[in-house]
Amino acid sequence: MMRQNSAPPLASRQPRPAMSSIKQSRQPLSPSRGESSNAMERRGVGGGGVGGDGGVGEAVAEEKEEEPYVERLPADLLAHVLTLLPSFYDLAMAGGVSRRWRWAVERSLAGRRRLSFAGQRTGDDSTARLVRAAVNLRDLDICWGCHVTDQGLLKISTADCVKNLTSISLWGLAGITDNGVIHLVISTNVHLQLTELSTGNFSPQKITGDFGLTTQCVLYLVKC
Amino acid sequence: MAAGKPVVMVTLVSSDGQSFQLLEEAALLSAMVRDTIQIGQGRGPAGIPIRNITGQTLSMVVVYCNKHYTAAAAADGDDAADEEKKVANKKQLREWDEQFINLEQDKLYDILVAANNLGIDGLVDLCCWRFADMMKGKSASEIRVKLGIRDDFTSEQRAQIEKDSPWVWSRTT
Repeated sequence: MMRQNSAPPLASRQPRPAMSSIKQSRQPLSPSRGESSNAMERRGVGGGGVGGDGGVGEAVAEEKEEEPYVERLPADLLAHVLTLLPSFYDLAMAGGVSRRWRWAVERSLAGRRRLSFAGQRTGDDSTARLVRAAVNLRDLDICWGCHVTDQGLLKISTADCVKNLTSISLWGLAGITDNGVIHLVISTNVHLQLTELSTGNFSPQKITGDFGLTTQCVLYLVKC
Repeated sequence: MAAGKPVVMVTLVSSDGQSFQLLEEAALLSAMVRDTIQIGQGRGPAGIPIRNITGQTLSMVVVYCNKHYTAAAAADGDDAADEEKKVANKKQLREWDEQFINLEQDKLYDILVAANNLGIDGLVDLCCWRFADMMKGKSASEIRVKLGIRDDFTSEQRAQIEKDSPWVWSRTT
């Protein structure tokens, strides 16, 4: 009950500015956006409440007499389920299931406070895209294995949520240099303490220094 | 269940007319029951009518409420110092939860919607956890097969999705 009530604010928060690049990169998808949310009204919310009245999609009804249960879940509950998925692999897979699910994944991203890319081979574009969708993000973790370069950090630094971040972890990224880190740090717009966990502390001024970021190097930024 | 406290029972009536009696304190796990009682209703012999929830589903919900109420009451009665016992009890309750919710998706769906309508947060989380568990580690097509979902992407959309996150799709193809 409570979750359903919280739906409208969440939904209205969703088509935010600064998602421009998502929209761009998904041009072919954008016409379906409105459509799929309509379909959801019909299938998910309507079907969930009253038990699948006549409106259940023409095409769907033809192929299967009975709609799968999970498809009748109200959109908020589906999004809630998806926020419980621990890894990005699962989340990406869920996003590839159907249009309704893709929409729910976006919605669940919007509610996330913490994202961890640890161990995922995400590239610049996909990392930035996901970070942009996570408008309520507070804690960003880009760790081992990510194929993120300065370009990626640059893109991430333009995301809306970046100025609200309280913690960024950049562990063992081989592809980043001072340039990218500085961009990210400047756009977080907060006083940051830079700590190099493996070899001791750096003062904030040292951000501009030329410490080499290698895979051995562990970098951790925390808002003071 | 401290001695001396008057035992108040509440009756919940399902949409198909079955009644379930349980301790008021157990029923208070539901925000909807809480609200109803707060405005001074539901204590009468007629009970609280629960719309849209059948007796079969409601009986499961009642089992959950009773279990969680007794677990909470037992935890209150325990010595605060006995940390080990608390941890063990918590683990036991979690195991019970997992077994309780180990259901097929039709029943799971009914309980989730019921818990959501009744405002029982713990049960909503438990059901969502179970649904998420069904999806864990599966590819998109496996999820579709398991949950019986139709792939409604056009081939262009599909290509775009694969382009968006190549690092996952390359693993499965």
